Amino acid sequence: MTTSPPPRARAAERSLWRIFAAPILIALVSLVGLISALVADGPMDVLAWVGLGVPVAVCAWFVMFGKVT
Amino acid sequence: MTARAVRIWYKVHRWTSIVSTGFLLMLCITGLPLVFYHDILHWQHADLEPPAMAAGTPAAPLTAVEAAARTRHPSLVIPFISWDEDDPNLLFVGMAEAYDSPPETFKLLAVDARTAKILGEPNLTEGVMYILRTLHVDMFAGIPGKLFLGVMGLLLIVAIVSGVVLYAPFMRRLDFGTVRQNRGRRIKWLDLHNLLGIVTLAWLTVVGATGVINTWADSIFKIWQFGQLADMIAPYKDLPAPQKPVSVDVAYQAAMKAAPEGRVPSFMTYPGTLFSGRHHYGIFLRGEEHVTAKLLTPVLIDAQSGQLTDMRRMPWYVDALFVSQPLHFGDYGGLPMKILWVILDLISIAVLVTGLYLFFTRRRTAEEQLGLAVNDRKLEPAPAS
Repeated sequence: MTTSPPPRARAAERSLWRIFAAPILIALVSLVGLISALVADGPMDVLAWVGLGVPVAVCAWFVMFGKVT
Repeated sequence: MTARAVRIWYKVHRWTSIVSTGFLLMLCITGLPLVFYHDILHWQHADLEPPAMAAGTPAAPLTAVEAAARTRHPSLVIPFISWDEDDPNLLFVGMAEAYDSPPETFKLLAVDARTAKILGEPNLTEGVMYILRTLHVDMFAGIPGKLFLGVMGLLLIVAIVSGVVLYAPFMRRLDFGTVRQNRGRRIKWLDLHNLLGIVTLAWLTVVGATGVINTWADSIFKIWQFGQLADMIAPYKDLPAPQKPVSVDVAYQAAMKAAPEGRVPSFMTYPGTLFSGRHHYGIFLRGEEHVTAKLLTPVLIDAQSGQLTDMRRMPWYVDALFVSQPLHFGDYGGLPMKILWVILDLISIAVLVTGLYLFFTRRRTAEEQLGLAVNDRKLEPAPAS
């Protein structure tokens, strides 16, 4: 039994659903962005910028203001 | 997932990644300026822009365009004429030693469609952009180079899938977006790798997969040539080539008369080319806006009689190729989309670099966290998730 929990309290395990909820949402929004500019111009272009802006914004947010542990 | 399954996915991720990372880095870096390829070409060749004239100035006959091109290069033939996608007054005339010369040997003349005046001869096979583009497309190794990069792209897809699978055991005890800043560089870079990778998942998968499809362009053209095209011109197979073909204008007008509403010419090929066979002019029509502008409808005009032989939509596999091009280039949503493309490309570079770092530093960090450290291997499987 070499792997008793380390002294640092371990956080509870997350369900698969909880682990993947945010990634799935971001992937869906990105896909909407990728496809919308393809099927029409004008307002759909704007939708594409928003859709593809989401993954960029999420990266920026967590890299700059991510929780420090 | 059992510890065994995690270990296998981990191996798959490590090895597909390490084999492809060098090439993927090259593709990401050369790809950055290529996002603006067309803008840069436009800027470099600003002198080719047709001058402003009264709106509605009619187009010159194509025979006049032909004559101007032949005067410029009397020893060359004209395999194709193409219409600029943005400026209907701008034509490009392709010239070569023979109708079936390899496309990379073609000379290109820019011609004003209204006056049939030659505007210039853009040389697309020199300069920095040409080098970057060729590196990106085939590393100067022709079709084998292209197909090789396609295999690297397939490895990328496997690396993405295995990366997503591994994301779960890594994140078992972490909130989404956690970047542990105070536990050493390895942990921090591991968290960054996981975060940036999972967030850009959809974009990188689409750009990777459409890039792979683009590497198959030559085969897709061959399949079309021996499939739909061969089928359309089958009745002509044993006939001699036409002795006195009708003029390019007769063929063009016959095609435009047959063209469905909302279709405009994209390019036109001459009898003797691989695009339309020995007996036909091929007029390739496209739609006028967004995705339809990428989808072609070939119209074949009998060069002997000037009559329509056949007109069909391109088969799905050609459509798939043409739709995958904008999805790879990011050139279909204006400047903001190109800028997002560049940022997402930079993030992918960060994923590759952090991955490389994790590969070459001690593996323990990642393996420990997955419950795969060497002295753990005999223990019971990690709790199923």
